[in-house]
Amino acid sequence: MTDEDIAKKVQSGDIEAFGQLVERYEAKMQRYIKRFLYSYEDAQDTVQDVFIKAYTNIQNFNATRKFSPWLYRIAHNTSINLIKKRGKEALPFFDPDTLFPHPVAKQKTDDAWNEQELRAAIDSCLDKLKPNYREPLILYYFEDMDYKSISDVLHIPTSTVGVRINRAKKKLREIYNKPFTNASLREARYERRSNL
Amino acid sequence: MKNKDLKNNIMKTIKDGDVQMHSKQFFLGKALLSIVGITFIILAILFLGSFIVFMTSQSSAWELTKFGTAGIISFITSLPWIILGVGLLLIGMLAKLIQKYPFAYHKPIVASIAIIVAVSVGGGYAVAQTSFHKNINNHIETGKLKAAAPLYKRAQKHNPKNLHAGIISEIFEDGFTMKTRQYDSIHVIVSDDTKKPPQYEPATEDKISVFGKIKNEKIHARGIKPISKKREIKKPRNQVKASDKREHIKPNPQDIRKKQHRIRKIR
Repeated sequence: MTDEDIAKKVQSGDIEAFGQLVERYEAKMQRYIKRFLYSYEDAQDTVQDVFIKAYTNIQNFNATRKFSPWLYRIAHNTSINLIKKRGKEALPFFDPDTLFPHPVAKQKTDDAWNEQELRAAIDSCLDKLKPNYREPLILYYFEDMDYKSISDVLHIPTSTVGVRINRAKKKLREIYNKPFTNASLREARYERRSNL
Repeated sequence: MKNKDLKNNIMKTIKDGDVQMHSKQFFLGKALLSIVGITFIILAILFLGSFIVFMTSQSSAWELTKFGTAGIISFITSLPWIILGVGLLLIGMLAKLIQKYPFAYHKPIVASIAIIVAVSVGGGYAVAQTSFHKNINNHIETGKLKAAAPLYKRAQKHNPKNLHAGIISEIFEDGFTMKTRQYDSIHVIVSDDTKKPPQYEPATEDKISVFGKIKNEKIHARGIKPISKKREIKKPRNQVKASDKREHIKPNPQDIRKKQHRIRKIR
């Protein structure tokens, strides 16, 4: 049974069916929110909030569309609200990246960066990236979403997703300022673990 | 174990009734409200857009664009900027409101704004070509639609800078005199620098628009252009004579009956 079919069942009053959706998505939501809100103590509560909000708003879900981006959108909104509430990180009031058209960057594995190394680098540098760069990287490299789905989650043009991912990677390179080596990654990971 | 706890907590909260699922009607109502809001803003933008076109065509401000760069600058400065500002604010609001819909957020904001502006200008121009604003203006003249009166009175008072329309009354060597909305006779000096249509020579009774600064009841014309004879040169509102006004007032049927009754009595 697809997520959309289960969502339909919940819409028609089958509360127990919602448990199935929670089971299917709790690991994904925890992974996504923990990365996005890595330095927030209440990240765990946010996961619960996301599912509660999904339940209260399930009648607003259009079963002809995919369930996953809809749920991630709720998770995005809830996380952004928490960031705003805590005031630890500055969120831009207006994003100039969404203003003008950009050539759509092709989705491809980066030749210069080994995919695994890149994932590890992102994981260890999340605290150094701004939320608007951090989020598309997480969605693309850890949640395996394509640009179109990320655009549906973040409500930004597809071309802007590409721009943000490229800029975030550039920022990562600046942070490291040296080619990735297993040693530097191990070091970065160790540093992050000790911070946690 | 922790994962199981999360699911159990959520299901317990739902089953205990601590959270309620919003009904379909709730979301339908919200969507309807949003559509009504968006429709209202679109209509307001169209109204303001067409009003600006109506206002500028009433005051012949478009004529300024035919007098080169200086004319275009004068046209831009004579635009009703407050109304234009309100229109731009509404366009911004509309762009923000539609951002939640995929057709809007998949495009850059500039593209959405460009589409809204194009639709507003095109739609506004189309509405201005109908008798919509003229009808409202006529209603205001007869004392109806008082709420809209200040806006339309502003349109009537709108006077583009350095543009004068009138009828040529006399031809001189250095130019001509003409009768305008504001002046009974004003001297227009035409020189070699004056822009005019090729082979056009001013003649008496010609309707003409003159671009140039007025000084001591003289205009050193930077440009002149004949106006179509069909086009009416209106008198400004404050210069309409009482006798002229009387022509527009329809006689009250009750007054006519009373008058007839009185005449019959006298007889």
